[in-house]
Amino acid sequence: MLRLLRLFNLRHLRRKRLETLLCLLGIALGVAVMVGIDLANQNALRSFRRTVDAVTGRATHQILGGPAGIPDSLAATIISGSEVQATPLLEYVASARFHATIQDTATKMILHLLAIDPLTDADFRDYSIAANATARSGSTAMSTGLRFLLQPGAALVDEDFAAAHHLKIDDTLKVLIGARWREIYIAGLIPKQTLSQSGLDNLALVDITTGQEIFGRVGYVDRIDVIASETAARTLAAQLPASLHLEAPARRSQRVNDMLRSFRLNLMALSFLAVFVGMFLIYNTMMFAVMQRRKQIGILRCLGVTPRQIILNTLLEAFGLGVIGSLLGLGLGVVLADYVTRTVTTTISDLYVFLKVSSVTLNSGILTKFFLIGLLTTLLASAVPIIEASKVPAAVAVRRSALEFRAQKFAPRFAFAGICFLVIAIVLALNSIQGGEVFGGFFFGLAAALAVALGAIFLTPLLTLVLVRFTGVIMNKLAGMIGVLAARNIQTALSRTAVAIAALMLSLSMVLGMGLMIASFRGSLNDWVKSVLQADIYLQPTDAATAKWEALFPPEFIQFLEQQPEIDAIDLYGATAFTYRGQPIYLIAISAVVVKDRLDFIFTQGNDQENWQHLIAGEVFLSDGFARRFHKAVGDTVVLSTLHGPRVFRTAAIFVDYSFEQGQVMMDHRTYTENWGASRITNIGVFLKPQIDFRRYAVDLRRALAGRFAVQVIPNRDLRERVFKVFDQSFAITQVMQILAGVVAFIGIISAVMSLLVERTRELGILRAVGMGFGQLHQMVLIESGLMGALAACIAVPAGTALALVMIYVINLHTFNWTINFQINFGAYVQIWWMALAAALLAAIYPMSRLKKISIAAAIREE
Amino acid sequence: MIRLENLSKIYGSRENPIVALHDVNLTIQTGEFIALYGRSGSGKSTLLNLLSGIDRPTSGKIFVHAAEVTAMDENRLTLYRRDTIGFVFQFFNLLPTLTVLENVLLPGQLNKHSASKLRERGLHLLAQLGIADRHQAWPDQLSGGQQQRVAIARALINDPQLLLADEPTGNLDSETGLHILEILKSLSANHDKTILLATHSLDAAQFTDRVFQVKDGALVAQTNKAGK
Repeated sequence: MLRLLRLFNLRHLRRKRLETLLCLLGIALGVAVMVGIDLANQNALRSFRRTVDAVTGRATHQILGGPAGIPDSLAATIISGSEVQATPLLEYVASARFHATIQDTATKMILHLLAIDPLTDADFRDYSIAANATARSGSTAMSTGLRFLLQPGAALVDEDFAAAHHLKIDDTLKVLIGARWREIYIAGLIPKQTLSQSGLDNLALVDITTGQEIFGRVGYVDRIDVIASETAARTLAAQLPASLHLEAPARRSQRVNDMLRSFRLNLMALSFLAVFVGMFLIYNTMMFAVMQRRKQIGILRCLGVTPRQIILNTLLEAFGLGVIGSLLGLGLGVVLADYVTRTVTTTISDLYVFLKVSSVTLNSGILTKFFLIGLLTTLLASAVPIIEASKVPAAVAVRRSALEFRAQKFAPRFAFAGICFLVIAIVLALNSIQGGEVFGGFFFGLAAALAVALGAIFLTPLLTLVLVRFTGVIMNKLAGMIGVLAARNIQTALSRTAVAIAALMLSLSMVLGMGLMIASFRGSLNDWVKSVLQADIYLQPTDAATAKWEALFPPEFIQFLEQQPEIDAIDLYGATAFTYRGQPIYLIAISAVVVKDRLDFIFTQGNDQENWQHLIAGEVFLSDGFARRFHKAVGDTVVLSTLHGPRVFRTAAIFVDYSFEQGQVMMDHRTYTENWGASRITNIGVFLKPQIDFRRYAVDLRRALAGRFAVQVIPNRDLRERVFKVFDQSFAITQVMQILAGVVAFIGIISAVMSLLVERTRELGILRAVGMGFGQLHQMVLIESGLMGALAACIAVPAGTALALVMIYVINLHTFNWTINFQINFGAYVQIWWMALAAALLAAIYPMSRLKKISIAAAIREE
Repeated sequence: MIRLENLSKIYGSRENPIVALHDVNLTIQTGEFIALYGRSGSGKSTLLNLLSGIDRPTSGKIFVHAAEVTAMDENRLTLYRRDTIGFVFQFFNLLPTLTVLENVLLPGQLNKHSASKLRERGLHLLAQLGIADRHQAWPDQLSGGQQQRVAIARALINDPQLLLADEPTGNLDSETGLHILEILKSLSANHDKTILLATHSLDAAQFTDRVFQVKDGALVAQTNKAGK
């Protein structure tokens, strides 16, 4: 057996180095895509979870209040009155700048500020014990400890952070809290050994009073951490007032997890798609590798080698290729994961919650999983053609025409299977639309997309035959017999060409589907932006480090704005992360009186003026995403937890929204304040008086704010551009898929054209013998390759459009809660055509260069 | 007129040379029907390959109607094969993806002849060879003899002066083979074509004007029609 492997299989691999390389590359790329996306998916939230765990320390539970937090007095009562250990806490992730270089953007740092009560916190977090211990040991340290406890603005800073930024004790740091720069000074350093154990970095500890002062939260704490047994926790929970609740710390990670669920589902879908593409790529390359030896297999059969020996031998070879290719793929995947992780982290930071860009951590589970998938896929991919080849009678195995005849005979049966898959896709899509459940809906949607892809793949052989017959006539007119030959070659080598065309078609369909979905999304977003972003100037705190919607405008800034004579009206916009039925949502407070006549909200029903009147009267608007997610209609009620306990709100209207995929409940500031305390202002829209030039005023306002408030002044057009920049950023990862699709297309076509040329050596020899020049041969190969690209693009047009419809009306609607109106985008269609033709024509270059090596005499002798 | 001067072809390496042809000298007049007779591996096919320009000699020269084939570059050789040579193979070598008529027209179309005239000529040739009724058939739907007649029609489509036939009856039954040889003979006699027939059959060789025996890469004997 091994002798046969060495003589037949290994020698073939050595002689066909390029083909072997292509095969290995195919396997490696397939594995790399899967590994890259999955590793990135796993890594994206790792840093966030580590931080949450490290900050949580030994706390078993946390007491949380509403959006405003827990009043000091209430916190003191709970801590002193309960029998469990408890400590108050405030937390903020801020941009920090070294005082001396405040204008120097290069020195920008991110600091995780934790405001603690040093006396009670030691039981919860090791680093706070260490900080205190360091502070208290020795005379100098003792005075440091006292300063930390007593002096306002004192902070203990992470030793590594200080070293990295050349900071020393007594240096002053500026930290950006909302729209204000606040000062802290370094009173001591936290030993790095303690922090590296906890998994936290860039930490600064301040006393709780300092925290309240600099965070602008005087009189409130974020939460109370508790160490309690389950029984004690239950007792404590029962004693808490209605405005507070007790939960396990893991719920915090879980909330972020829930918030990111659809984003991660999207990544999972991409990973799934990558698996599909990867498997197809491996199948494609392995099939060509095995099929190339069909003739040799026939000869071996004639010489008495049994089918079983052939199967085992080739599977052994595939095993070797699978191992090498998969290992290469793991290496490539790790490189790819680095890029994907950066993209994903940036997107999550832009859209959801601040994450530090973390390096890729290798996960042996993921690597093993995809190594095995790569190996098994390689074995499966080679098993199918080799079993088929070994079953063919020896005499027939030598003749490829038998295989092609069978391939053409099977085309209608494949087409029938394809139609069945399309029917399944329609049923799944309808089920998903009617089912409405997010989780089930997503998987039904994904299954529908898969069924569309499979339908298109199975229809490819028959469509290829039909289209080639049609294009053959055109080719005859355009390129004469050379065109006819090229078209017929595709038709007669259907077993190879159909696979290559299907692989290319699948890649193109994905690109087109995503392209159409993104373009439609962009179009719908554009309509929405035009309707709701109508203020002349928008303002938001400069702070970009903290969690989204946590940076607030201080009241004195609002007062400053109200005194500006150029301003006609101000829309104060407050977004607050909230939960509804345990799911993350946003509460939005707006200045209803200001915006009702100035913005054109897109309501699903009702009279605009009446809707606004209801809102002003205390009812709420629901975003379409919220309504869909929680099955709400106009007139329905929503029960929200308020400072005064649960309260019922009537839905005045439902409006189209693209700002929060989790869904939002919108209300007037008065309603918010009555139920949750002072409004949190996260953004401001400024409407200027008619005669004021907004560009000039923006410049003046920036000048007036300089040194007082850290606020971004964004003219309307700039904000619209930013919206689309963030939009494009969030779809950046799809570019990876597009590049991969291009590579798949290229490898698929180059394998097919190479195989066809190798198998048709005799025919090429005949053509040369009867007087066909190299130029004409090149022309034939180019037409053949280009036709394969064009056929793939032809089939990809309906397939990609169908995929886009599934993505828009099934997956996006139910997973992301986005209402997207499908829009035909000619650019997306043009893109796949040039991609197909470029891949096909580029893939023809190498095979064309090999034509000169064909010996006519040897070729025509072969039979 | 065709003239071969000191033509040699050696395959393999310098250390282990395989002499396929050795110092062949031959002159053939226009319109002659010549047989190269010899066993398999004697060098007949190599000689035809060199003459057609699909292989190059190790040394020596080939002149066809005053043009030196051995001095031609690849492009001129292609045109030479297309315009001056017609090739008939033992295994017909028809392209399975083209119909009978398309196979016949292919060399003409490579030459970009007028499509209608070419088609007319192709059909005429097929009619002359008795298979006009099968012009729309695929090669694998024809018998061996029919396929060889298609191959002859293809070889004649550009009206070449020189027809090279490498064992054209080797894959046919004797009756069909006889018919093919009669066609070749008629082409030589009635259409002034110079024909070189490579064969291992003495019976086939008897159809020609002159027979050269090829043995171990050399022309060792010559007989004419009268058997002298």
